[in-house]
Amino acid sequence: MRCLVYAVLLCLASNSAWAYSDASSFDKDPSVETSGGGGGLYFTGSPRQHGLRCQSCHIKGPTNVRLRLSALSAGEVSDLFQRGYVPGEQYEIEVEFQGDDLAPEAGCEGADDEPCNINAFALEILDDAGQPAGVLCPTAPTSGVMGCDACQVPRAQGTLVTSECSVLLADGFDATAFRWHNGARAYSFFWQAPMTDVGALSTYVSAVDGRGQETEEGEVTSFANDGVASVVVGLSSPTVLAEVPSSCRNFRGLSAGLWSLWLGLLFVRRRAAPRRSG
Amino acid sequence: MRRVICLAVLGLLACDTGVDPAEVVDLDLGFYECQVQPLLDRSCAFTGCHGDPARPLAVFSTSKLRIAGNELLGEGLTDKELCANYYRTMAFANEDPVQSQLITKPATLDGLTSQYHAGNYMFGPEDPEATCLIAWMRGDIQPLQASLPSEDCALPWRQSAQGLAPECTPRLVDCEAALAGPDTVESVL
Repeated sequence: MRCLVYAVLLCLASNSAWAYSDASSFDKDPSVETSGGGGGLYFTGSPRQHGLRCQSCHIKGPTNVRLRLSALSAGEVSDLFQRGYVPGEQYEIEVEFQGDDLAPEAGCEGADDEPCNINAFALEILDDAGQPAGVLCPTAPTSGVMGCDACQVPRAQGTLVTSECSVLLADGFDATAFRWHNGARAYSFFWQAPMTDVGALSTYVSAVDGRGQETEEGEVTSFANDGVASVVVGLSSPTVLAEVPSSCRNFRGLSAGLWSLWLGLLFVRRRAAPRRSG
Repeated sequence: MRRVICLAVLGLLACDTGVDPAEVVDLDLGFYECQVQPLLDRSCAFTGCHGDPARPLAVFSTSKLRIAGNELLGEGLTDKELCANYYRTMAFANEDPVQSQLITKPATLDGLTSQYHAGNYMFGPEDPEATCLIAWMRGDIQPLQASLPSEDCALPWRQSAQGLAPECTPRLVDCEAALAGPDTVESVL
């Protein structure tokens, strides 16, 4: 069984829809010439994105979307999100939506040539200085090649990586077959960890559970009523891991959300406990 | 009686700041359209932020808030949208541009020093975005024949599909007529 991190979203502001028609729009100039792009902002919620996330545009929708992050290393289950990264290691990461609560009533059958029910996200992994760490890539980076050059396929399997391999975007678009993976709930991609220990890292993910077309003629590019989620998951430094007693390691790398949930449950349990008389 | 007169004089003096109100002058609409509008579109116009029509500085943009609904998403701004944005933005201009809230608010975070700006830190007073806004507030113009960005607006994230600076030739607009007109699509470029 894969090691899992359940990203429980506690305090999300409501927001709705897939901001641009496809993920490549985030890189375009926000002018008439491009029909309006993101100007190089990718809305992961990180400091590099000025804290902007999917909720900045997608409003009025549910905020209880849950995501699951898991990882493989060399085809085996990895504890990347529990115990941190190993320098130079190549991980296959999966981001899964725990449910697809929003979908068009009429379904999306026969609508593969258009975005009909897209679950999408933007992800980046940064160091403590807010700089990108490692290389993100839709397919396995070429071994022995350093940096972003190792990512030979910038778009595949419904995902797309930015030109510096620093932000991974999932939009469900298969550029090879020119079709949309409507209703897809999980995307996998690769992350080449930094070659040396660069300290603790943070994984920023912001996601949209697309509601699909509201009517037969409806536009999917509107921003209202999609489900949204944003989460930050820590990746421990290998050095820190080596210094931590093994009995404590499982607590490293937990997201702030999980800590909040754990503390919240503890609080509720204490309050719910029967008072002793006398 | 003397006491009342003294109080009245003091009251009148208290109303006099000694500073004449700043003269309101029209800033260049072409510069706004080609340089400032893309900047606001990228940094401010999110539907959860200034793409909310309830905001004092509500901003229409090609892919977010539209005056006539979602049918226009992805189309160029109508004359009416452009003029509404222009006047609203100009209302935040200042005789001393550096003191304008267009410069001071994006540089702040939530909290006491935020001037009640609920948004995120977007750019500081030394950043290219601020330089561009200041140039507009100082009266820079976009010549009607010019299509390339002003030197003061060399924003690193601005690029066309070809990787070059995007071209923009300002339109000729009668804003009074546009704002009095319908929200329809006739004026879409």
